[in-house]
Amino acid sequence: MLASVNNSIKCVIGDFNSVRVASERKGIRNGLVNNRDIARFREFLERCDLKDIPAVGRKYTRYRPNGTARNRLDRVLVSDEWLTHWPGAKQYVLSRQVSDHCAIVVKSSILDGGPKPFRSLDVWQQSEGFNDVVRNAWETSTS
Amino acid sequence: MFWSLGSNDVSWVHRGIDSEGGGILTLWDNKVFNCTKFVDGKGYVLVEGEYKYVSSCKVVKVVMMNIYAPCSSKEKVLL
Repeated sequence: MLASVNNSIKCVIGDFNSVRVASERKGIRNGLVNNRDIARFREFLERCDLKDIPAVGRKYTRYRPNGTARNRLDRVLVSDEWLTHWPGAKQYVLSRQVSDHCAIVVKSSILDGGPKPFRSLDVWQQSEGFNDVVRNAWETSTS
Repeated sequence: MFWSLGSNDVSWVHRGIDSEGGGILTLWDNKVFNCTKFVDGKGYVLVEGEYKYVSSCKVVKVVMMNIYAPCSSKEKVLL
């Protein structure tokens, strides 16, 4: 179903209940890494033309409440087309709150440079129409 | 899923909780995203629509899929 919308700007996010590499699962059942499941998950990524984007923050996204296991079941996958629109997109794994899963935020570092520093040159104020430009910008500014 | 800062103009699609528990909720900000189509399937919610750049008013077509995969491998293959 997802493969049918190839070559589009797409983003798939969620709890896949699968991991991409064995090291994404840690816990008491370590010896029972399901290689077939990993292979199937990789096959799915390839068929749907999806890429795992770099993660920042916590390494695992799901912690068993009694602390015996942790794994990276949740992730954000995007297509190449998505990356051309939002280059440098990263997934930020946040701290765990009420759920046993962590929230993930996707941000494109290139678009999100934080607040821009205020700059003004004295000569601008001597230029004709300066007040109008400022007034117009102030009144039409929405976000 | 798509958000501009401090907006409260919101729409959503949700998939109810089934016997295994766990619902899916996809929310978006109407200021930056206009949903044109959605599919509410077993284990996923797919939303298709237009993303509007606030700065340039440019519009791009985007597909977003929100997944809650089952634990059993049999059902995972189905998904």
